[in-house]
Amino acid sequence: MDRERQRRGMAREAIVGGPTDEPGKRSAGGRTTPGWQIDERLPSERGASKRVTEPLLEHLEAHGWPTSDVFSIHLAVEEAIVNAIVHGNKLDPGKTVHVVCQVDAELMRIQITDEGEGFDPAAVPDCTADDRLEVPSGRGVMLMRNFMSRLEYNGRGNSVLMEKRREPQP
Amino acid sequence: MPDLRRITVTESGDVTVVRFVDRKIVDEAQVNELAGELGRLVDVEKRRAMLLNFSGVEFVSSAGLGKLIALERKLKLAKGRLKMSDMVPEVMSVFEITKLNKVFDIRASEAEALKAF
Repeated sequence: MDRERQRRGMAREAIVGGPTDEPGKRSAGGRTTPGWQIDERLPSERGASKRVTEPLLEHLEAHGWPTSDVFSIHLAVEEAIVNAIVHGNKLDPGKTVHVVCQVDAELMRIQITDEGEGFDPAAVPDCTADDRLEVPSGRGVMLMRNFMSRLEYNGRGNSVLMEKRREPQP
Repeated sequence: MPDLRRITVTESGDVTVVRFVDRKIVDEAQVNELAGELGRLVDVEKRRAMLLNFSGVEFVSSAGLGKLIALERKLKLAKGRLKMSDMVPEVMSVFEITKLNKVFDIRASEAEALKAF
């Protein structure tokens, strides 16, 4: 089922000129480092994150990224895009979420920008405080921070840059 | 019982054992449907001892976590008990990072969880 959805996702992205496998580049170590990127404007509607996560996960799996890294990237990207759509753009159909993602052999980098007013990530309450443990929302940013190698918001708080460095294989 | 799309339900003694149909618990529409089916087990069918067996589940988003917290509260108010089991390490890590492993009783296996009721 998921595989089929992923294939459909790829077909749609291919039509709109989404992910492209650029010719391999030679790194200093002599290994081939296939570059891959996606540049999408997502509508502010629930479920739109699939247009990024499905081809991205397919690419990572096809290039042998470890399961734990694929999970981390899926979780952080899903949470960030949902935040942008729901909290940033407030599901406004007149606004889009701009996603630019690049993956090479060792690093996934993604920038997600909404058209909202932004927020102060430092002001998000600690969801692990004893009196907030059972609050049903507010865990997205913490999960993103924990699962990514790097996470930075711009000053306005409407754009987040995240990076995940590929874990070395044992 | 109405048709269930997101979960399967079996009995083990007095305990209702729930398994998830989806490998990935992600977007809000899917999560809301899941929450509705879990909620009905408590509100309509008056189940009071529930075990959520996560075998086969590879992914849970924060939207999913929110609904599990709501289920836990609902059961607690009804003087019921909720336990969980069989999480893969990645899913378990989501509960650990958010410290929800302190809120939920999470066991390694279904057999171990059933013994703990």
